[in-house]
Amino acid sequence: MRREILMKAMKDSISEVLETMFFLPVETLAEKYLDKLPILKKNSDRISRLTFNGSINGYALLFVPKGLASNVATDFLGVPENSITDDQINETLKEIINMIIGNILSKYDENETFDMGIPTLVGKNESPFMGNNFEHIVNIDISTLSDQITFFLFTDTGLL
Amino acid sequence: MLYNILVVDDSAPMRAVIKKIIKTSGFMVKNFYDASNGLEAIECLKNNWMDVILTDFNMPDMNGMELVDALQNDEVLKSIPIVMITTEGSKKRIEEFMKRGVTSYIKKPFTPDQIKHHLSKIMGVPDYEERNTDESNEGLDF
Repeated sequence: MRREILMKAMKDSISEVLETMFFLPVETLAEKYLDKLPILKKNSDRISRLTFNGSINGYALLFVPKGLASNVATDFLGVPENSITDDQINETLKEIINMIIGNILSKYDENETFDMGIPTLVGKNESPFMGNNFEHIVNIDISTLSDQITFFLFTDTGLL
Repeated sequence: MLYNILVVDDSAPMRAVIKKIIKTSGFMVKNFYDASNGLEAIECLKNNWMDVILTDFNMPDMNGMELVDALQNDEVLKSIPIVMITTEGSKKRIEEFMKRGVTSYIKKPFTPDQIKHHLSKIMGVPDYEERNTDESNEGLDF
């Protein structure tokens, strides 16, 4: 089934990107297929979002706890911890989701040329979800040494 | 020999990381130059000679492919090797890159060794791995 291929692509890409480029060892905690939009707890995670179109269409969300986001950005950019800016953290998170999605789509269908949007940060009072048109929701929770990252992929009917 | 490298990416952190990874790899850099899109890259090339250009694909105003097309139309600039650094590498897209004048491509994420190997190959610089051979262990079999 195509969604199993997608799930594998997601797990492989997330660990490849985070471990190779961001030096963050990770482990998959949970992987789920959801049939409705998840209920989000109110928290202070930073959320990056990226859309894509091709043989499957949809978008991805990456939830990263504030402290972890700051640490990852500091290490990635090689700047002193107390001098990292919000902008630098946000740019790093956008780059993470950009790389993960690029990898996922290549692994899922190497013959298809996908168009990826420009990654964005979801605002504090903004809903991260983009409507109910996406039938397939894949969720992976990832453990790092210090915290947990959550990843969602929403796709349309092209998955089956 | 030391090389001038132009790094083109709309993400300032990504440009910083690419430069850091290249420095870590030990590849011999004279100067790094930055541009956040194809238009800025062309402007930079008007005043500075580059030995190699590393460019992202997906950028606003002028993307990586449009930059490649523009450089191919210049008799002098078309001789500069171009490496496309991309997150998405479908076979079709890579074939298109190569057909339109991209010298090489590298997919993110990449390691310092991978980028050094690419740059060394393009610039014709030997990129040898020194293997440690401990002659005293030869022939031992426990």
